[in-house]
Parts: sequence; C-alpha cells; structure tokens
Amino acid sequence: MNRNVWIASWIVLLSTGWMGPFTGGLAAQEPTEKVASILEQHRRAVGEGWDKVRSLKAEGIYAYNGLDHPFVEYRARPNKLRREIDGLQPYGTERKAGEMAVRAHGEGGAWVQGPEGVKSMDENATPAFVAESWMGGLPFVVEAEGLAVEHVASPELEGVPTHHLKITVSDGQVEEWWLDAETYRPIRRAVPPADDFLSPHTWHFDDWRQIGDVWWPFYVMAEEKVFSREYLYEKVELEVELDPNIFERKE
Amino acid sequence: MSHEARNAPRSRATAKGQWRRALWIGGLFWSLGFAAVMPATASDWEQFRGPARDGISSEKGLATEWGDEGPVELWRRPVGPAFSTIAAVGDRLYTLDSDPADAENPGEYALALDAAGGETLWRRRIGDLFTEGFGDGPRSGPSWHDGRLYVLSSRGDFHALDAKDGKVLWSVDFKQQFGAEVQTWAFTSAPLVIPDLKRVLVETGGTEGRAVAAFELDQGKLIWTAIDDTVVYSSPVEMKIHGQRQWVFLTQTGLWSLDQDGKTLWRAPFVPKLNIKPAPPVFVAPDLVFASASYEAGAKVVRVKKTEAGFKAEDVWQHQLMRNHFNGSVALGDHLIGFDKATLKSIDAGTGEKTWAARGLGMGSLIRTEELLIILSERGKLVLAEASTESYKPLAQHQVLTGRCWTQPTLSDGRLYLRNGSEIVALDLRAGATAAGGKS
Repeated sequence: MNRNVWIASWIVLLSTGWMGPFTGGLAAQEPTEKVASILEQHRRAVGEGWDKVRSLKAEGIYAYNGLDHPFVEYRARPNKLRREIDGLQPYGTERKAGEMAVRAHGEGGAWVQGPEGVKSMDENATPAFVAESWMGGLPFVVEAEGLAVEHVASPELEGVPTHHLKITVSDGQVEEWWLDAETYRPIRRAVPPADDFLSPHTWHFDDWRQIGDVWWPFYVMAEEKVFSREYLYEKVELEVELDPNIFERKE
Repeated sequence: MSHEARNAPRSRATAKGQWRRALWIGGLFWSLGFAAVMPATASDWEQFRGPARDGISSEKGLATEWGDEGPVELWRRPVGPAFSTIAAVGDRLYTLDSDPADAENPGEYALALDAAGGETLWRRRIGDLFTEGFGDGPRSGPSWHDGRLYVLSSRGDFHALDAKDGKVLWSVDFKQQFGAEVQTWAFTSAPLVIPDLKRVLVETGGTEGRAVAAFELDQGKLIWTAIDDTVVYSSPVEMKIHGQRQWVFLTQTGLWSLDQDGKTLWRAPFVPKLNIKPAPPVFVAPDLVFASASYEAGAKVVRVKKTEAGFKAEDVWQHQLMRNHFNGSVALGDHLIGFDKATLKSIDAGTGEKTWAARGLGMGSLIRTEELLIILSERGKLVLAEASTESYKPLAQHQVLTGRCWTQPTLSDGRLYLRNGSEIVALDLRAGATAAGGKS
C-alpha cells in the first residue's frame, strides 16, 4: 500500500472517531505494515549507500554532566569501533584536556581505557556497543546479518508516529528500535540496562543530515541509569584510511 | 543652559529638574546603603526559585526573539565556584561563592553586587570551603528579607547577615546545635522566610526529630524543630491548600507538610530508600503536590484532602517519566514542565501523561513567566520558548555561558542573571532593550 494512502487512511479513521476505543493517546496500535516493507523503507531513508561504506571518521562534542569533551569516532568493517573522548573522567566530574578516554571494539574484543588504565568492557554492555559499529545502524543490517525482527506496533512516541521493532541480535540480546513512521529514520533505540551503572540503555536520535548518499544523526543522546550523554556530531567523513591497530587493546 | 532650553516648556523643564533631583537623592541614599533595606518590590527575586519559590515570575514585556547577537548583555564578571542561586532585590544582587585558590584558609562567602554593573559591594566569609569533584563551594541559595540575608554554608553554618554591608547579625552551627553531619553533597537547603510570622525555615540535617527548624528572624532564636528523618538536599516550599497555609518538605521517606508550629499536617511516602532528592516539591492548584527525583526514582503526585480528622494525602500517580535530577519543575496551569534527567518535558499533573519532550538541553533548569519558558541548558545555552503545554515551541536561543550550568536563572525587572562556577552574566531581556542598558 502506498505510504501516503496508508497514513491518510489512518487520519480519516482517527478523525472520525471510528477507532476511538482502540486509540488512547500513547496507546500502541495494531501493526499494519510488514516488517520487510518497513525495513526496505528504512534502508532507503538512511541511504542504501551504507552497504558500500568500509570506514568512517566522525568528530564532535561529547557533552556529559555539563562539560564538553571533544571526541572522535572511527568505524571499520567488520564490527570495529573506537571512540576517543578528550579529558573524560569517571562520572564526568571534570575534563582533563589531553587525557584520552577510549572505548573500542576490535578483533580482540571490547575494551575501555580511562585514568585507571585499560580493561575489558563490561560484558553486559558489550553487545550494545558492538551494535553501534554496524554501518548504517542495526535495523539497516538485519537482513545481511540474518537477525530476527518483530514489528511490535506503530505507537506514537512523543507526538511522533513510529514503527516499533524488536531485533534479536546474534547473542540473543533484544534491541528495541522506533522508526519515525514518516521518515523511516530511527528516533529511539533501547536495550536492557546493563549492570554497569554508566552503560547507556536508551538512545535518542535527531538532526539527521545527508553525508554523500547516506544519512547520519548529528544529535544522539544516550541515557544511562542516572546521567545522560549527548553526542553533538560536527563532521562525518566516509571512506577514510584507518590503521586497523587503533581498534585493538594495548596495555 | 542654552536659550532654547531655558525657554523650553515649563512643565518639561520642571519634570527634568525633579527627575535630576530624584536621581541625586536616590544616589545619595544608595551610597549610604539604604537600598539594602528597601522593601522588596513585585519585580524582586528574593530567593531560590523566586518570590513564591515556584520558579514563576509575573514579569511581562520581555522580548520573544533576539537577533544573531542574542539578548543584550549588560555585564559579565568572574565569581568563585558555587552552585548558589542569585537573589535580586532593588539594585542589588546577592549570591554565594568560594575561594579554593586561597591555599591557607579557603572559604565560602556571601557577596552583594551592584545589579547595574556587577561590582562587588561587599563579600563576607560564611564558612570553610567544601570541595567536591563536580564543583567546589556553596550549594544553597541566599534568601533576602527586610534588609537581611539568610545564608547557609556547605558545612552547616547558618547566618543572618545585614544586607547593607554583610555584617553577621546572628549565626547557628547546625553540626553543633543539632548534631548534623556534612553529607556527601553538603548542606544545600535554601532558607525560606515567612515574613508575617517573622521566622525562617531551613533544613538543618539534625538528628532526633530536628531535621528542620524554624528560627526567629531578629535574633535567630530557635522556635521549633521537627521531622525525624534524613534530609535529602531539598528546600521547603510554602503552599496554601484548602485554605490552610502549610510548609512542605521533601526528605528521605517522602513529603511532610507542617503547620506554622511545626506540627505535621500530612505525609506521603516517596522512594524512601533514596537520599538524594534536591528538587523542591511543587504545588499545582488547587490540591496537588508533586515530588520528583533522579536515580530511577521518578515522580509522584498526591492529592491533599481535608477531612474532619485533618489533612491526608492520597496518591494520584507515580512513574518514571519525570526524574528531576537537580532543578525543580514549574507548574503551568494543570501541567508541570521540568527536566526528566536530560529531557525537558511537559506532563499533565493530574494524570502524569506526557504532552511534549525536547532534548539538547542537558540537565538544565528553567523558570517561566506567563508567556515564556526561560531555559538555561546544562551547557550554558539560553532558550526562550513559548509557555505551552501543547508543544515545545522555542522562540530564541543563544549561548551565554560555557561549562557546567546547574544554577537556575534569576529574573528581576526584565534582567536575567545567570551563573556557572566561574562567572555571572547579566542580560536585558526586555523588549526593545539596547546595549546601553535602556530601551529603544
């Protein structure tokens, strides 16, 4: 069904009150689109060019507890991600410029580096971190990765009609994604909270901008149990030359 | 004086002369410090969260848009580390700061500033410095009343100061008098003056039923103590519910409402295991009281009822859609607008349902007028938005501070005063304001 026709149908139904008993503000509605259709439109919306992207470098400001930390992020296939956050201290108490906090995943696993040294990433937090390494995002790669996807409903989220998906990642962890029902770009992602006090469990995406033939959210908020971190992207470059060693742990 | 001026219409010349005389006399009184004892006016912001301690200003005539330059900046000056709010009374500002650079005797201070130019009028030591990873210095905000300033240091030194010169009129050490201890985030409660009853309420952190206290304004005599509970960095708020004036505190076990004699009118539990709840309770007329905290606590609204047996609070709703981390929410009609951690939200006070949400402001703070939300983001961006419960409608925004901005704005006479841990900035928000500080 043509998407505009589908949306118009819903508007007519809701405005006439015909569906009154089934609509209650934020109440979930029955799914009306096949998962394949949603994902296909999502892939177009974030740019099918992501299939060809081999690496990227992104820079911006990591805002945490009221302080700005310049950060740089690298991604490469397969599943490699490294974020360097300048001056970040535990709990974001202060910024020590030049002292780099690093979170990374490479062939040797996921690791973090802070003022206390290098250590393995909390294993409960690792799947969500690794999922961030996928070019185009998790919903973009579900078919290629053979992940199970369920269309839960099409609820309204903060005033925005969405498609709510549950994606089972390869280790059995379930991620929830909400795609804007009009743009088909993600507006929220959630994973089960890790034991780690400082691991994010919910992400909010906004300010999508086009980079070449793909799209990137220039504002990302990641909520932890107590605090939140904001990624304010300023520059994203695709197909950059990266030293593969930057993703690997060094003592 | 020119011939033309001498022959100007008499009424105009007379008015000009009277105005000059008034200015001269006003200046003389000012120089003698009389401004400090003038009664508060409708445009004053005498304490934490404003005249009614609800984050609401009655001011009108503010600009609703700015040019690329942002609002008119009147002045900007350095200040020592603190999270203290700013009180604005007449032509003076009062706040607290600290001096960590003083290696020999670092302290915390109350200071008075000239609102017009930001110059220091006096600075008075109020206690030893409190240091902490997120920022040093005082957390409490000063409260002004009738020429006096009531201030609380991070280490529990409570003082009444002469607002004219900062002279200490009386002091109480909460540690000595009430057995209080300096908690992880220090003493933070903002004193609440009750002018007609001539007393000031404050959370003492005391033991054995002395968590809060009322002191007589003149000499600091203890009137009563109350509440056997742990204080949680909050501040009391006066509310009038079913015709009864009452003072509502948020402590570890939950909400307590006391009458003027310190007797409990009603209580309502709220996340009793959590001992960090700095956002003050909010009254939503006619009978709802809202409490919120972070650390996965959420928010709760109770309806206060009056029966023959007295007052009682009934739960209306409780959920995690609103988690005020530092700063309190403001009521707007039958809604509440506040920060759910780092998301600004509007929720229906009666149902708890969310009506809008906005991000990009961090764990900021806000106050409001009838028409506008005045929002300071956690990273120092000032945002004007329409005071609406239907949707988030930003009208203007400008980066005015940098660094960690956890202190709520102060609005007085069209001027907005903002601070972080290192500087204070004064902005003219009036419609038609010009760089010279006047109006076009």
